[in-house]
Amino acid sequence: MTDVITAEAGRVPRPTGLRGVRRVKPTSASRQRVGILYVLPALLLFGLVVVVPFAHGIGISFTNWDGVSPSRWVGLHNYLSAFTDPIVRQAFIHSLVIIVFYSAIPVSLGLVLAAVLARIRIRLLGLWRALLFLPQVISVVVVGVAWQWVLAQNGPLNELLRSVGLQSLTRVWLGDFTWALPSEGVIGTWLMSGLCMVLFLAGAQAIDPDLYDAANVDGAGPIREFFAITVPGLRNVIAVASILTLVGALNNFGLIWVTTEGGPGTQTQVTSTLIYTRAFVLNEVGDAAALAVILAIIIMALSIGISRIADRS
Amino acid sequence: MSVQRKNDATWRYAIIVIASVLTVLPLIVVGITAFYKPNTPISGIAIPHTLDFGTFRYAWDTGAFADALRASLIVAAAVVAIVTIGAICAGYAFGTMQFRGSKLLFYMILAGVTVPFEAMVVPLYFDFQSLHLTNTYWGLILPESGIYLAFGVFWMRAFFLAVPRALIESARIDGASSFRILTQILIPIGKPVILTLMMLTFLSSWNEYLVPLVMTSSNSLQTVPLALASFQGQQLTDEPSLAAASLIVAGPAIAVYIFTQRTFFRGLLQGSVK
Repeated sequence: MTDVITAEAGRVPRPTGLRGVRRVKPTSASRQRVGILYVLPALLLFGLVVVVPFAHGIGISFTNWDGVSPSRWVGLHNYLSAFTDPIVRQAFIHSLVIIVFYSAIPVSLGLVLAAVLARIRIRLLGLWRALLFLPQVISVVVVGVAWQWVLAQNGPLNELLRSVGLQSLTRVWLGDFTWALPSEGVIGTWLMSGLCMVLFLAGAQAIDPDLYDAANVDGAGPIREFFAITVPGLRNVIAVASILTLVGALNNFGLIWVTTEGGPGTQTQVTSTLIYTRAFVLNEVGDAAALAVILAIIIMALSIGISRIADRS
Repeated sequence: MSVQRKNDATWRYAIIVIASVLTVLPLIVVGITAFYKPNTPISGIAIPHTLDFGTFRYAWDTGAFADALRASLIVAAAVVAIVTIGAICAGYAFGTMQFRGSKLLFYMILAGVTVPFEAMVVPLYFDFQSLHLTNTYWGLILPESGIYLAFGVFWMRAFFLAVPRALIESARIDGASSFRILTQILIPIGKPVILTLMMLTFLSSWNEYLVPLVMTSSNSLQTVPLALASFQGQQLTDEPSLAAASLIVAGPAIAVYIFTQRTFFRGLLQGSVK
């Protein structure tokens, strides 16, 4: 067995290491096959559920199809109309707003918390961490039901406003044309901030405390300290948290569908609800497929971009 | 330590306490209303004077949560089994072996981690419809497994990459097969990492909303999030019953979380911070 391996892999013998032992490159034909065998089950399932449908989706996106009758080839028409359709543009703008609330604000809050708590030994850390992570454990339907009550006409938020004399501000927050989208955003901030804080707290504790002491000796203020030590030290965590929250922001169909179904009007329509509505409510499957392809490309590009930036700096 | 330093620490410490309280508060405010009788009109933060568990009974029966819990458990158990086995095997190969196309295949799976299900759901529904898999358990189990598998492979590969090479090489020199090395040496070391993956997968499946919404139309396959959503549709203003139903849905997930959180955070933070 060993002979076969050296004969195959050692065509160019590389006498490395101590005692002249030949290093065997682990790429023999039999091990090749073993590797593939281990990957095969995952690959088959991934192919069935992700790759084939994705390719099929690209195919559908070039057609006009209602999901039942024969489809008709329309070339790039669905893509062209996606770029000119004001409803699509509105959904993408709403998604951008949602990204600010789901991703930008929670990542910033997490960073600030990490900076403030960087050098303190936190008592009961396990408890705070468990509580901060709790929203991640709960179904979005439960989150939706809970926040619908919090933001309802007689809900806690409006009662609070009434009790401090701000009667005029009370409203059904998720049913209000102006306030529905920011309200969805606040729910997202609540959902994602704890996750970011947990990640950044763990990251901050891995930063060498000597760095802060050195900065203090050099007379750096808290802000210099933040940008010179905390942010660079948390680079990888920032990348992970940004990608997780970004994917969460564009993956927020459930929460919006349960709370507003995209309404009132189309005020909380985002890309994911628009895809669902077009495909399964309006039977415009070709349009929906084109939107899905555009969304997938945007998310992949953003994820690659974020990890590139994190790697480079 | 000077008084000023100490005050400073207290002030900093207060921030994490406030953040934790703000995180839990909305859930508690809603949770407590479950102890009122069904259809009690409620406003603001209402703390019940007596504990009435009858509302849970009412919600359990009207919302058909017994069937939903059974369906959810069947799906979650199958998904956890498939994802765990598939991810361990594939992660093992990607992390410790080199084979033709391994890089390309891995990056393909990695892309699957970031692409949201929203982007695949439309063609997947029509594919599964033509395979007659919609409205079956497989119509829930296969899509969920396939989606979570991408993350699982990524997760397990990171673990296998971190295992010292010498450990694997010495076992191989002793004549152990790759399967023996995996089951006798590597899986025992990786228990916390594997448990974390199992728990994350269980929670994802338990809470999955879009897959069952799209793939099922019959009541017998309704998982708990769907049952809650349709219960909400019927009981729009019955705040206590909705709260009780929400607790029924969130309860099992929270219980699993509490029991595994120590191992879970160790595995999670190792995986994501590195």
